[in-house]
Amino acid sequence: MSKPENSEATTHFGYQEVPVAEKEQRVGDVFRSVAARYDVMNDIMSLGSHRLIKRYTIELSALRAGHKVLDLAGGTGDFSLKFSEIVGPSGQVVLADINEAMLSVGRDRIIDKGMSANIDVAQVNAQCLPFADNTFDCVCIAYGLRNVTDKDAALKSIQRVLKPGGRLLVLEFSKPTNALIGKSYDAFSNLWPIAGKLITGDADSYRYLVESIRMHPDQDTLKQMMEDADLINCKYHNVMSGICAIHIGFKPH
Amino acid sequence: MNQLLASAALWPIEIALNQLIKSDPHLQGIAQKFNDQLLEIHTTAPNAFICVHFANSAIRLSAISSGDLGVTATASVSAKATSLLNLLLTTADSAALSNPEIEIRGDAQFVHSIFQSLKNLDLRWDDLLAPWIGDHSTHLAKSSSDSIRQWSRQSKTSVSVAVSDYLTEESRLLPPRGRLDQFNGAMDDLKLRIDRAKARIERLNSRL
Repeated sequence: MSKPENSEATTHFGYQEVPVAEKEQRVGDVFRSVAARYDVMNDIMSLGSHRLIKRYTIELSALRAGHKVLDLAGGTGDFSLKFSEIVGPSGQVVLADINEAMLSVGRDRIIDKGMSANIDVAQVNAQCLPFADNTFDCVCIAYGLRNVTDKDAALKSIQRVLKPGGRLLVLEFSKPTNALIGKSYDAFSNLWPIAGKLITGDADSYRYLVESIRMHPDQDTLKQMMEDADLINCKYHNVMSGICAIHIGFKPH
Repeated sequence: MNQLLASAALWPIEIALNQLIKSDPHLQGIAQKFNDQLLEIHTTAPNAFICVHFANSAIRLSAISSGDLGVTATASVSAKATSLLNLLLTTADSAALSNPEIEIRGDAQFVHSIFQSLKNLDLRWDDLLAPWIGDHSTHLAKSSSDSIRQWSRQSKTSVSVAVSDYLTEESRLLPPRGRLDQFNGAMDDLKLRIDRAKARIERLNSRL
């Protein structure tokens, strides 16, 4: 975030600089617009690979029966549904998102699948989570951190609600490690607004998604941010040559 | 990337195994018996990990080692892939686990229990296939498979008998062992006599 002299603090919204107070509203508008077709667009934009990446992320969560997990920025509930099967009736999943439209889609999916027994749904702000300290064995935030205005505040808040020894998983787009793959990916992602226009009638929202990916911190920067939030043993796994990365960090005992 | 690909490879296997478990109460009982336990299988050649996590009457497969996951496995089995495969295919009892090529760490009783459960499984592949391709197709597949199996068994017996007959016939053309030994002895004797004759000729030549 930047603070020019004699003006309010600004932050990036894609490639644009906007007042901090406005970003949340703008991001909210984007996701209200895409909520209904979010899952379809994920399949198109990732050519189906997002399912495999999510499975890999779930493996890294090392969840067991009876665990409590927070699916932050969980939106349409992909992860929550999987977590629910793993933690079982003795565990608990909290599907949380700041956006009511995305949450509504997620809640409806959960109800339709009859899996609401161990899944709670909550509209929350990641920067100030309304949960008690030391609540969760695992917090997972998938493709959501880049939309958070104050990422440092969010990471600190997550650290607070994790149990000692609990882990944070951040799945997010990142910086490709291979120049050729990076260029190919850039060219491919330039098609997303066109696909967005065709499928959802909204090119601007997908333009924001593409720009926000490019503005997101790279792997090492995010790892450092996690360490600054007092998470330990932080590391990351590059996926598809760094197009995505899964960061893991633990709350100290 | 390798772990991602390994995860992709394990995914359909996990789905198939869980379908199998769901359709068989006996298998559900086994999965339930090992609930919340983690078995790590480490093949040393090739170097790979498979973690098998029993949870809520289902299993989850992962290609990430328990160390990388930051968890402790209930037990860990380490061996070459061929040794592990032989273990699965052997009809021997749990003494097969005493193979020095197979290293077991952690709860050995857990490993023995899993091994015994696998040995006691009575799976008919045609019962598993029928819901997917229909009874008629399954019957055709089973008939073909049985025919092929019978043909290969008969072929193997036939080839074995034919080779045995051939060797018996050919061996009649060969001289008996005693005669061969006698011949070899005569050849050695002749060689010695030739060497002696050569030596005498050289001695005579040197006198001249």
